Amino acid sequence: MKLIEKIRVQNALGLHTRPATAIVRLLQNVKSEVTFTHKRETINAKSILSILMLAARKNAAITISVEGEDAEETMAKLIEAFNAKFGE
Amino acid sequence: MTKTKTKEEVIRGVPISQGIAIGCLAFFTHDEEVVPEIMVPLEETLQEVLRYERALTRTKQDIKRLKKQLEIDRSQEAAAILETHLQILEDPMIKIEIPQQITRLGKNADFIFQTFLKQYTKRFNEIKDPFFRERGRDLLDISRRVLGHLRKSSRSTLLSMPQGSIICSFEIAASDVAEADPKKIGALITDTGGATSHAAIVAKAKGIPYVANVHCDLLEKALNTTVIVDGRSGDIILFPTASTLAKYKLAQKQLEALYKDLEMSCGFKTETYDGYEMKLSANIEMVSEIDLIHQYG
Repeated sequence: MKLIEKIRVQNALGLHTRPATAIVRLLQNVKSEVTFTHKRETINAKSILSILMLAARKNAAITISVEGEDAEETMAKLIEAFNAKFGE
Repeated sequence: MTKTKTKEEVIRGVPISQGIAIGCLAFFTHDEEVVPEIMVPLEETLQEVLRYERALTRTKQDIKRLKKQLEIDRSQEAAAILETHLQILEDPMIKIEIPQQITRLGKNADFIFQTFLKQYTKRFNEIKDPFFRERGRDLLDISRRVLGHLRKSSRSTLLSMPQGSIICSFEIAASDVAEADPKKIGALITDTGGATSHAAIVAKAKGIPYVANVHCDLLEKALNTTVIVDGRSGDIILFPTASTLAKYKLAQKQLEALYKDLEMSCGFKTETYDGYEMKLSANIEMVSEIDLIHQYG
């Protein structure tokens, strides 16, 4: 199954090291392929370096794509984490 | 023979971490080796990949040790930076792609890794946003350790600096500061870096005074002499006079006494002199900072 959803970054400093670390930890045991697209650039969301290089600031629009057997559960966790500002 | 008296000079940088330090000026640089490109026969590429993986493991062990020390010192924000370093070491590019390249290209791990590093450092340097551009330093920081383990070269560290040194460097990495003993390193001075840099966060967590935005070239004439670093104002005083030294020694003692008093008052009730009790709140960023709130009352 493939799920695609658009979300906005709510963290004051954007997707910096702390949220990026939270994302890769969340996706550590996820079986699905997960990508983020921002300003026409698509990256592997399991790569912390790639997330940081996106340089996504507050209010940046991110299109999340999750494809695999645990897509629904993974997407739900990601959306929840984004909305909770990754605990910040 | 007459001795030339050097005039006191004040250089103002950007104050990053508070405190006053008086010590001997020393310079710190990382030795950037030129890594040779060596062809690795097909039958030896597996060994080369294993060598690379051992270097990654040793780097992780270094970072975990430093992170644990920061956690013991209750420097949670600084520890979080090293957690990010551990995650960078788990990045698919570092963990999977580089071993694949070693096998596919039949070249030594050091060369493949350094090529990767140059490529990604360039990409970070191209980021227009300075805050995100600065995050590339974390990659550089870890990469020095990985290369050090691969090259089995002795890596320059702040641990090797003499006691009470005032360290001047073009730039300084977060893990270098994490490794530094605040009893040994008096203060840090750098050309680059700002208040949001990870090195700054770790310096503040360890209580090491730090001033940035100073051309280290200007300090060369004061090498191995006593300098004063005032992390409150960003002033660096070269060739201080006896009265300036006395003034700052007194200020140092007063600051130490102030911090001791503040620590002692941690457990007191928050009330005015006439007994009116007030509610004291703290602004935290992470749940893990709750322990600090309790520790400091």
